Amino acid sequence: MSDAPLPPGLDRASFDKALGELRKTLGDDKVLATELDRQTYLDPYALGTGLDHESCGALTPTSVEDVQAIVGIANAHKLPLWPVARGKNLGYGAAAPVLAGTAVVDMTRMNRILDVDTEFAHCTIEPGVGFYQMDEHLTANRIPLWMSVPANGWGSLVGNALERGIGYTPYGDNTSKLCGLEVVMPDGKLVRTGLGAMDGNKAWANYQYGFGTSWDQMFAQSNFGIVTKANMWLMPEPELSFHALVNLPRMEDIVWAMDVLAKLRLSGVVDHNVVFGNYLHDASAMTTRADWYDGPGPIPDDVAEKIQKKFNVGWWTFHISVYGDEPVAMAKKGLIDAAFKDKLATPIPWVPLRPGEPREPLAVAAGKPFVLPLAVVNWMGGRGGHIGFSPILPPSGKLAWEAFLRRKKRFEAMGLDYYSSFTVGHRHIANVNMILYDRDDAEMTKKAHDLFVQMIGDAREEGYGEYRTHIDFMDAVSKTYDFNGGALMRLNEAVKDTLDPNGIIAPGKNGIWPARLRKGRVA
Amino acid sequence: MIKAGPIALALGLLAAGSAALAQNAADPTARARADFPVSAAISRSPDEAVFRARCGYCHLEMGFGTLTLMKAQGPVKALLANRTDLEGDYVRAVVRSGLLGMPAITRAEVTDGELDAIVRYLTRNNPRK
Ligand SMILES: Cc1cc2nc3c(=O)[nH]c(=O)nc-3n(C[C@H](O)[C@H](O)[C@H](O)COP(=O)(O)OP(=O)(O)OC[C@H]3O[C@@H](n4cnc5c(N)ncnc54)[C@H](O)[C@@H]3O)c2cc1C
Ligand code: HEC
Repeated sequence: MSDAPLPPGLDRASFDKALGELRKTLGDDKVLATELDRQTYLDPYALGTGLDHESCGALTPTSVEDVQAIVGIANAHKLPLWPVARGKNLGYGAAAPVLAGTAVVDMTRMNRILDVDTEFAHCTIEPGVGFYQMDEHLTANRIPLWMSVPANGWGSLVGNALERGIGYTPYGDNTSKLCGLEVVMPDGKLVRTGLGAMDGNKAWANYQYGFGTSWDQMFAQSNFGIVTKANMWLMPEPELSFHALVNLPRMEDIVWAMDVLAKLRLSGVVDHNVVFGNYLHDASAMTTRADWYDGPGPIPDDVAEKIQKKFNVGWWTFHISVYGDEPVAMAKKGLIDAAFKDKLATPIPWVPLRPGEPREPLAVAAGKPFVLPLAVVNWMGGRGGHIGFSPILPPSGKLAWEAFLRRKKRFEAMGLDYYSSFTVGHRHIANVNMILYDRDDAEMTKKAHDLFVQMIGDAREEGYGEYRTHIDFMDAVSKTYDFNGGALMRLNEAVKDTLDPNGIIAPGKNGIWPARLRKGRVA
Repeated sequence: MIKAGPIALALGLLAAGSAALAQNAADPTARARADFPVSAAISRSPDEAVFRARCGYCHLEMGFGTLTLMKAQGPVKALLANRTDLEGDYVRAVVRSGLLGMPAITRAEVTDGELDAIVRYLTRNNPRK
């Protein structure tokens, strides 16, 4: 039996007092603070025990008033809070806070679907609304709108969008589909952004910027408030879509393929995030490493070839789709066929999808949630985990190739399997380098940690930075954004200190620390 | 217009009643049924509805949990819903502590009352001692 870790500045008595007040105000069932509760909020993929990020428990509001009450009590006691929507941010720390002793504000049970506008394709939802929950709502009410879902569908629309997560339909840049937020500020006041700043404005969910300064992005990947409602845009179900999986046999194929895809993305012929991954993408979802190889070090190239043969995949595989009214979809498909005609040995194997046909087999490409990709954690055997190092590159085949060679070498020198994907966005590539490990193998987790640190440094040297990161590395990654002595972080800190003088909201999120906890952390 | 399957049709009604269901705090299965009307409609009992709502992500056909168990223990033991050998305490321990690739599940996600319902469902066919 171990006691809850205390947040800095609180002793046991003042902590117990704060918890007592929370219980009295919220009710016992909304304060989850047993030892077992704390264990359920540890990062399931932690590099180590995860106890360095152990919360002091969780608070589970079901209303805006609950959130305001929590923020009020937290201010009075300087109790730090870590807001999560469904807290399924696996690979980035899940629901665990940066700072041990922080209380998780878990919005899982604040999950009302307040409105779905079928005519203009938007919804108003609370943060706890999950992808599966929304999927059932749309199905049950026969609403022909699609969500954009990440490859882990266990989480929430709002949490994913606030973390700048991505999906794979044309609406896949999820944070760009937020249209007005309701936020409890660090002083407990309620703010609505965008047109929602006008009480009763009828176009709140239709226009993003509002009048004057536009704040929505201020609440993404930050610690300036707790979002309690969001409007999000949904995609009208297309009349027709086509989907295909394309295999490229050789490593070097990434050079020309990235260039072709980038052009199609820029011109708008392809308007979704294209996942372009190496063979481990499929192998790790269906099999484990031990099925193929039990030697030490990274998988040798001849074993890699065997895996590719078995799954009938090449070194690279990518998923490509087109969506639209029938003539639009047909025309786009034709343009893609033309762009790849002289490059591929066989025609692109398109599969059509029309309204009413089952979308499940196409999963994320058709806005249907699934969680099967979580199986990658089984790859190494034991209690698996993974973290992804994801720098953003310009969408160039040459730059992708250079990044590929350098990262692969780093993985192999560390004795870890190279698993990577290059997700092609509108004008960028998100190069997700997945490090898979067995949590119970201390040597392997140390290597995973060291490799991650190495890659942060390598990328900085090359002039690239990550778009999102794990709680272990938020300080390190934020420091790579170093223009003019870290001027952006000084701006973040000035905002933080003004809005949140007690430093209660998510200390350390993306490297932003409140004044009272900053000393000695930021150089 | 999309074609509505029989399930979707039956559901128009259910979804409308969901707000009322959620209010009924005395019934620990109400919230799961309100959150997941499609799963509730194809469930044969409120307990099954809770299992589908909270564990269905991974433990139905082709789920991550099902496929992992299939590989480790064979087809007979792959689907939790068909098992007759799971002890209640074991299910509770796995849910709150996690098991290999299965992350621990919080009491915000699955309340104690819901876990009771899930345990009743998963042990319903166990041989009587
Ligand atoms: C195998 C695998 C595949 C994955 N694939 C993808 C993918 O394709 N795309 C992708 O984007 N992610 C992916 N992920 C990562 C992650 O699982 C998803 O992004 C998931 O949606 C995040 O969980 P969530 O929605 O519950 O968000 P949460 O964990 O609830 O929230 C994420 C963060 O947002 C902030 N936040 C949340 N709610 C609030 C609030 N109310 N107020 C203020 N701040 C808030 C917090 O900082 C929080 O830590 C994958 C993970 C795995 C393991
Ligand atoms: C995110 C996916 C996921 C969710 C959600 C999930 N599980 Fe699991 N579960 C798994 C996986 C994967 C395994 C297999 C673990 C292993 O042995 O490798 C598993 C295994 C189990 C086992 C062990 C069975 C055995 O034969 O030992 C039990 C019991 C179990 N789950 C119960 C539940 C219950 C009850 C729920 C819902 C409250 C649930 N799980 C939700 C993924 C999940």
